[in-house]
Amino acid sequence: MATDISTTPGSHTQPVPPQTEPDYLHVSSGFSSWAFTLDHKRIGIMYLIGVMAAFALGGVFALILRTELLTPGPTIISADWYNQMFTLHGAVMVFLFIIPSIPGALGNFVVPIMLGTKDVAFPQMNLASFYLWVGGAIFFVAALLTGGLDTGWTFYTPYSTTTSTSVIAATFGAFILGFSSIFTGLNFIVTVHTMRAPGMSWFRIPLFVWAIYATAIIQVLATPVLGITLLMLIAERALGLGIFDPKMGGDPVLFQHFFWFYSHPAVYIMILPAMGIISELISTYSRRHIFGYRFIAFSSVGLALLGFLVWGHHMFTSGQSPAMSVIFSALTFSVAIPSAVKVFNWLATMYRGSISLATPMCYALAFLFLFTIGGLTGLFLGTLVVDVPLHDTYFVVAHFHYVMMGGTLIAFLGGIFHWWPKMTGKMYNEFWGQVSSVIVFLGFNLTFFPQFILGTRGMPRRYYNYVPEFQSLHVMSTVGAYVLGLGLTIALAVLIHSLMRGKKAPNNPWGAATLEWQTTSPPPLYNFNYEPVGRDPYALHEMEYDASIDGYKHNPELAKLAPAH
Amino acid sequence: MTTVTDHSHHGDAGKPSVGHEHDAHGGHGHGDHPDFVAHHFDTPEQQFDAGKLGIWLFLVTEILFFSGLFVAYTIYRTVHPEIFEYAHQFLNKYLGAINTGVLLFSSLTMAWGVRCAQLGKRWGLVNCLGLTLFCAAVFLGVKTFEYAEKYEKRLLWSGSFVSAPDLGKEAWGGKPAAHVLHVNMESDHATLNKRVEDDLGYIMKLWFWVLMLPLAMMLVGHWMNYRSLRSTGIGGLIAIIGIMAGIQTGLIIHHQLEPHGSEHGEVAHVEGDAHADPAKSGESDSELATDKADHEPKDAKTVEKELVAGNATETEIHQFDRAEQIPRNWSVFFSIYYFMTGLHAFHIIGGMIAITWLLVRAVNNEFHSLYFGPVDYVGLYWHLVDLIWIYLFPLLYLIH
Repeated sequence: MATDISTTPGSHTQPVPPQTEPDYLHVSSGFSSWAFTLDHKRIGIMYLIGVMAAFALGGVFALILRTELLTPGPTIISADWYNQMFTLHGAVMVFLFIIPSIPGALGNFVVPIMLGTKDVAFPQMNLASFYLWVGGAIFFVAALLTGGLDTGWTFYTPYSTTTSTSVIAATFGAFILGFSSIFTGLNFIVTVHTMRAPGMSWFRIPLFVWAIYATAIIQVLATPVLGITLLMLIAERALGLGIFDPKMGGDPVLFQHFFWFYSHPAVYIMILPAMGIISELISTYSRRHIFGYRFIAFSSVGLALLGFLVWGHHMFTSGQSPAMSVIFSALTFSVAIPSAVKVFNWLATMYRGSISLATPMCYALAFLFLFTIGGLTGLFLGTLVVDVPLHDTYFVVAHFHYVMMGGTLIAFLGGIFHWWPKMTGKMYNEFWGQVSSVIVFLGFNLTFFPQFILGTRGMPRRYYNYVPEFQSLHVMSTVGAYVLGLGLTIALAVLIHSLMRGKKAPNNPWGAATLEWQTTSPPPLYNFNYEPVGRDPYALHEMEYDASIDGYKHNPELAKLAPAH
Repeated sequence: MTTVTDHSHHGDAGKPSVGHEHDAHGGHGHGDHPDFVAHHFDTPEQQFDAGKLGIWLFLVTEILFFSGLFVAYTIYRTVHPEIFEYAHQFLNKYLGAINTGVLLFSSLTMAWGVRCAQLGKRWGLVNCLGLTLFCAAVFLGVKTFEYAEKYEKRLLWSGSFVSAPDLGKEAWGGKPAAHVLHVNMESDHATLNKRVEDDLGYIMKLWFWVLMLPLAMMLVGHWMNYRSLRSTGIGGLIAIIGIMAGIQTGLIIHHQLEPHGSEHGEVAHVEGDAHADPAKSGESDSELATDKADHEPKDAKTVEKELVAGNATETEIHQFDRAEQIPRNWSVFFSIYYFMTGLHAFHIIGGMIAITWLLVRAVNNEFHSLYFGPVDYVGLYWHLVDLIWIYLFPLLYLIH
């Protein structure tokens, strides 16, 4: 496949011309050159800074929570504050960090370059998406400062319509963030459909883009339902709408249906981009062509679609009809299939590969372990009869942290380390990067594995107090949280150090074959100094190490020697 | 076509744009980047396709946005059909029908406008957009009338019923307090109608003064020879006059349907329907709600005449008795009504802003056969807003 492409005129088999124009970071300067930029790369960087700040905020809340749970009864904060902390921890992490993290930061930066185009289809809308994110964040902070929020991130009625905390500010913030998410998703769908470089057929799109595309489908189809649900909640609270109020003949469980109709698919908004990153990392650092390209691509879309059919498994104990619970339970198992397809294909890619334990690969391996545990415990919870006793226990908390944090956050970190040289033009300290990944991995397991045990023993989630028998496990979890915090701090320090002291990155330090590595590091304003042409994004054997630049170059001769797969 | 010029300095200086298989417009070869094509697109076709896919996806999100409300409506109506049967009669289906017609017509003018844009007919497009804008404004005007009328009758969302003067709960046996108040305090419907008119007169005066703003914009734009300012002013003028015309339409229809002039015992047609019913049909109390739904306002009118001749206090007693027959929580109907029509009205306003933007650009002659995307996209959006109203009208106004 690769050979016939290499004969195409204008293909990137010609060496990348030397940098003649300034890169995107230096093409203009000053505050307004960033604040009003339409460049997807700068918007991606702004998103990256934003979501990392949100993550730091949510992380501080998490550490306060864990510290409070060090002992039964009051430790450092009051019960009211505890309620607010876990609510804001959840809301900030979900709405401000995880959902926008990979699509907004890495997706924005990488997707157009991977497709060989100059920008996303609607650059103004892309910038608007970022500012909507900022607006939503402001509302969240306003909620924090004006009475807090103690409903849990799910805003369940009737409590959310009666509590005296700032529900309206927070839900309006989430409403705005929803539009931010829709704008991002809409942009990516249109970009993938209409903006691909010549030769970039659907099955030459890198799997990260497939994952972002599948995510975008969910963002476009599910998020509007959250929007109207939150508007109804605001109206219910402010005007007394009556639709969710049993006193007025309404139904509070209807809110749960609406909420999970979005929020279950949103779980796939969170995990699918992470899976996309892992597909890139596993292939690149195993130096092997990805195994089962089409299966991985279609499993992303499959997950996106199946994700719409299982929301009722969040509501097994809500009083919905038993028949519905059975159906939702059965459908939930179907989600395991595309997830497993991905994991098996990643393993098959690694098989007989030349695995390099570079920092991104360390994170990718951590993802494989943690996501598998998170995914399999999901099956426990999808099983109706097991879920009923486990519902609202720490088992659920541990499960979704293994998926959301062990999955999405770990992959996000892997992705940041992978694309960092491309984004900043600087290499980071490999050793300390690896150290950070190991500490994060160990700290994570120490934090959340004991929570599985706590959950099976009956520790309910969101509780301020607990019986003394649970204390040893809680202490383990809290210590793990500190270790995790340490690991993440090291990771941040490695990145900041690289900005100041890092040596200049070559165009292609990892030998990856996707298009973003075939341009300069960092890329020029319009991404390429030549006309990019789509080709097999996993033809890693065509990449040849060049010691003089400490990076890889494309060697078309290799394409003729080695099989494409 | 005058705007199709070669801008080689644009963005990707010195670099030829990517060669495309379909280089449709013969005159433009490689490297030609007309200024109506954004820097990151290679060809006008690519830009148009991207915009078209984008707007369709946006419409999908809009449909899902409204779908939440339609689901809430369906569920609430399935569980409480009696509320809808009782409460819908407070809506004026004639006004709803007029608005439906106005919106349908505006969809026609919009589609016509798109065609004009495709053919490069500048003034045809301007006229069509102006008409569409006018229709949208008339729709809003009629809606303003409807809201104002309901405000005077205190037919608001549930929260306002319960919390208004809170004396209701115990005193009236758990019935929504405001309703009972409304029946008793507002029984003098001549006064009520006068207050509706006073309200709307006040709104009209406000709009009249707001009218000065677009007028000023027009004049300043004219003197300074600044076309965009002038055409924005024209857009604003059309919108405000349309709203005032809509309010007038509402008032005229209202006058046609409502009895006027008599001092006492007057009953607005909906009330007349509700409260005068037994006076006419005797003791058929049992299926009260469905009964009433079947009555035409004209029936109510004749009944009202009987009532006018009769005893006023007796009417009031009737009304009080009736209060006992009203379905519980019927105010939720108005919650749903305001939420759905209000959200729709916001979309109308958004569409009006977009159409005004198009109008300015059309006057400036920015659209031609190679570049008419924005007209097409706003047109699609406008059809969707129309379509949503096509569903709202029967679901809210035409219930049996």
